[in-house]
Amino acid sequence: MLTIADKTFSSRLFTGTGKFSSRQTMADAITASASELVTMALKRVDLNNDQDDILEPLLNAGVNLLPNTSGARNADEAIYAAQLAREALQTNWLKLEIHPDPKYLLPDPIETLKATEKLSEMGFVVMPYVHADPVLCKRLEEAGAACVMPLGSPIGSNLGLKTKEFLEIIIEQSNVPVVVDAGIGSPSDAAKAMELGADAVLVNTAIAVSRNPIAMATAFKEAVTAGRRAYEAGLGSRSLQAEASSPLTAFLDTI
Amino acid sequence: MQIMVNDQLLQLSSPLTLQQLLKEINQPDKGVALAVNRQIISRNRWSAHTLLEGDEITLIKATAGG
Repeated sequence: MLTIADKTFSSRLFTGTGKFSSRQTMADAITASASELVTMALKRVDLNNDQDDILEPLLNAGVNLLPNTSGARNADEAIYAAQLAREALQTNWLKLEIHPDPKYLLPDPIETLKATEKLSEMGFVVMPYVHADPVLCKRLEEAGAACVMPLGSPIGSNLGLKTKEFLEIIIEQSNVPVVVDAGIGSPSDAAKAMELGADAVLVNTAIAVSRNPIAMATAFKEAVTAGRRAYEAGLGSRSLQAEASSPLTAFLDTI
Repeated sequence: MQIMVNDQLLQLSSPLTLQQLLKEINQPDKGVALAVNRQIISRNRWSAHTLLEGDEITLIKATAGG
């Protein structure tokens, strides 16, 4: 079981709600993933045309909601967005993301640290999305982050764990849960992150843009479970030389 | 009186509270947040907060995202 702040999760797969072709597919994929924590974004209501109510199916699915601050370019905007999110969804849980540059959507570490300090003081459960920077992750932990969410590769890129070696350092050093977020493109990426010892992964694009999001959500669920089980069982050590797994008894020498 | 809601001009025939405004513009009160002149007004004050001429209202809702 995974505990973050005051909540306990049986599933170590968190999912996003973006990019699905329909509300129904989104809801079915989330159910198939068995995810218990699901991200949402905020937007201004379009008074003339607003039909995309995705809240209802999520509430029906019984998942916990994790609003994000996507769109915030600095700490002040993120803090404002956080308070709006808390009002809208009646939760103090928050995925803090501050990315000033829309091309790579890489998180601003300085603004993220500032916002984490303030939002933690304000009683938010802050889950900051950051680069896989081990020093920054420790600073966020000291600033009151409930967990850290280092990226594998840029958001939506499906490039997988480009930051693997740094994720390993973060996992080794962290006293708060480590949730690998962003860039996980396949179930094997998710399994790999779990084998490294990540406490959870957050997956959105790879499920949503699949030809069959529901089957893909199931595949991710199984990969996360398998990866976690392997981590708990303990992986064998690596060697550059062969280590025989069959006895070398030379029984054929006399033939 | 005139107010702005998400940068759209609205004419009101009589002063409304935030709660009444949502009804007037056919918006649900679930899953939304309101700010008046960038000051967030919490849900429990919507029925007591009366809008003033020239108020700029921000109406935010949760949407799909990662």
